[in-house]
Amino acid sequence: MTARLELIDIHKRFEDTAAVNGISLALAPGEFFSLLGPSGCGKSTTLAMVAGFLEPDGGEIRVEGRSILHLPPQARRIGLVFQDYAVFSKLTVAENLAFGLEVRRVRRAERRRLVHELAQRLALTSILGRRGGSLNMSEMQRVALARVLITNPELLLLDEPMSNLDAEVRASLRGELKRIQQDLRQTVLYVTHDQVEAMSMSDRIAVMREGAILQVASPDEIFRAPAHRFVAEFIGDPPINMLPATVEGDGSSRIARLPANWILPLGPGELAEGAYLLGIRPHELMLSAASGTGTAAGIVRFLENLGAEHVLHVELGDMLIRVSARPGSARIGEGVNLRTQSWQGLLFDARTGNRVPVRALGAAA
Amino acid sequence: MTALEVRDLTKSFGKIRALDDVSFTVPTGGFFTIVGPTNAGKSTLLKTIAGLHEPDRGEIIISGRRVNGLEPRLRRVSMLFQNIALFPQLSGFENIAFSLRAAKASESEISQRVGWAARLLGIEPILNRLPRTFSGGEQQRVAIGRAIVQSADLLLLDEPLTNLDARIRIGLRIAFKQLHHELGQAIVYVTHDQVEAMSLSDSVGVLNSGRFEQIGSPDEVYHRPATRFVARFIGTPPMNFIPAELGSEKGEPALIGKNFSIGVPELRRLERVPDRIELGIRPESIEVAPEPGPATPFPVEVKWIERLGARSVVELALGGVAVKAALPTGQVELETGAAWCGFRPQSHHILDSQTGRFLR
Repeated sequence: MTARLELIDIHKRFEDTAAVNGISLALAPGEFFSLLGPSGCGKSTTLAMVAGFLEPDGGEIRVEGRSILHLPPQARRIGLVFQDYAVFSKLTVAENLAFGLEVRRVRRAERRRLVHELAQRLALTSILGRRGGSLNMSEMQRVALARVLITNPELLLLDEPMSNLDAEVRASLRGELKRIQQDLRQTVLYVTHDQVEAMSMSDRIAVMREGAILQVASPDEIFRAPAHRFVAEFIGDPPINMLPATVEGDGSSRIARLPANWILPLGPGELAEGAYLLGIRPHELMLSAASGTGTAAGIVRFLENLGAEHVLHVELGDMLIRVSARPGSARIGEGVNLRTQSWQGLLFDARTGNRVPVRALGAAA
Repeated sequence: MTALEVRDLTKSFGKIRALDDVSFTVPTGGFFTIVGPTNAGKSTLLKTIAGLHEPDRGEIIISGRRVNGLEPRLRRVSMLFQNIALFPQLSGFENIAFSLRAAKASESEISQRVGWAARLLGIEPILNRLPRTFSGGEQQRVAIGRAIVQSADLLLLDEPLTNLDARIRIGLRIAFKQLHHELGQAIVYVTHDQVEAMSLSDSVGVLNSGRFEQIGSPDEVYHRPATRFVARFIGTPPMNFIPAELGSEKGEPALIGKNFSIGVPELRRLERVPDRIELGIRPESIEVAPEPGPATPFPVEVKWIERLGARSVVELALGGVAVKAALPTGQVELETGAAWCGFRPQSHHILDSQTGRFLR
């Protein structure tokens, strides 16, 4: 199957910084693909090159197997949706939808037919006569999408469309966008710094840092098997704990020495001795009544009350460790014992940050 | 002693009443957060406290001193604005030190205080650089540093984390707790993000259209919301509301809705039965399973599953009503289609639809 969009070894420099440093990826038709990373990681630059606003210094961009680098933006059959959706507030919904068609000199009868057809699919029929300025955010998103989709793009690019909106609105727009995308089998390249958006909507995510892709995988795999410590630390709220660990052992059995004399039995496994970073997510830790082997003693320094759960910040040596706990399980200043529960065994090379695959290290649980 | 007392504050801009009879107090060393949606009046309230707006009515008392009419710089408050402006020609260090130099602090005090703020905010490596080389997050942290090194009675923070990347925002949340812990200074913090409000504050004021819907501890606003607005604004996804009627089951009062019923013995002595009631239930208080069971007796349809890492948000149709449940990922393997749900014991709320107040 031909990839809908293919990027091959794309490079882009601005003066003395490499904004995009050799990235390659391929989107399958109908795929929802996200570029996720902090500001300055190169995700918007990548999108701008696909759209044709920037020219790469090197590399190739193909749609349906054909290079599009020589095409100006308007000839690329790519739909763009920007921050806050930018619907024309003085125009009616119908006029907003027809706008792109007028620019393309589509005949009037055809325009009307297309507007009504798409309005029906995106539940806009009843508001076709309303002005853009009077719409709520859900209507606005659907109009912004419809306005672009009406030109039948091969690819839809969305650049942080929800970043300025209130949390509850964002949550409902996520579900709606995903449903529309699935319903139309529209290929989407979505740019965001928000892990929740990427995790909840994407078929696959590329996590970017400093112009490079660290991992491309499904949301589930990104969460469960991050390829690099940066990916592990970028995904998850509250964030993962990263503890310096010394792995020792005799024979085939291994232990990890952690701060504050915490010794975590790792069980049997093919694992070289030495320095690692051990990643434990806050919900993989629990308070233990018993002290002793496999547990660590610490003091609760801060408590974040999130209603349904409390995030305890437990001082362990000179580190603060986040622990998801049931409300009421500990108070500030209290001494607690920590132990792991269903720890997924994330270990990272202390020097490179790459994950070290380990088989069956669940023995500590 | 109270750090701040606001009494009956009212402020209009033209015909728009931005603040409508707002009152609250912040004890010495307290952390008070004003949370609400866009245009609730949050920034107006903060700016009125700082002295950038004069109220139409009401009093502002800082450390026992009435400050109405007083110039902002005489109010002994330090404020971080939403739109920050660093001095482009000054280094990160000098930007943070600015107010200390203006107050003629000694060199040793300046370097000690700037060093402390920089450590707390994780910006030590950029202190010698100029703002044009800063990322957005670094700029914001330098601005926060500038606000916190001043020795004011009251620190006012207007959406300090809003323009930052999600990752930095989550990391800095705890920095504010540390900061508050070390400073011991009273803080009034404005945000639209209920997670920040819940996780940072001693006390939360939920502001809506210029009025407080509720002021209480994080536990109170979460577990005992005063109004439907608070119940929907605090907690994500928001509390579900499901139409129900008061009937009886096995001789006990019960809330009966389409495809569900739960016993509500607490309503046995209700003096007046409201005409319309709704069941309020938090997404994390709903259990979902592929098969019926004692904890999941009600038939539902799973419409949509949003996987968010450690937890998943499941959109259900319960008797035709859209309901969201939040479940730990991996606990149950669900697919879209027919399933079963239940409510955790004693986790329900009962709303009088007419008054918008909770009976429980």
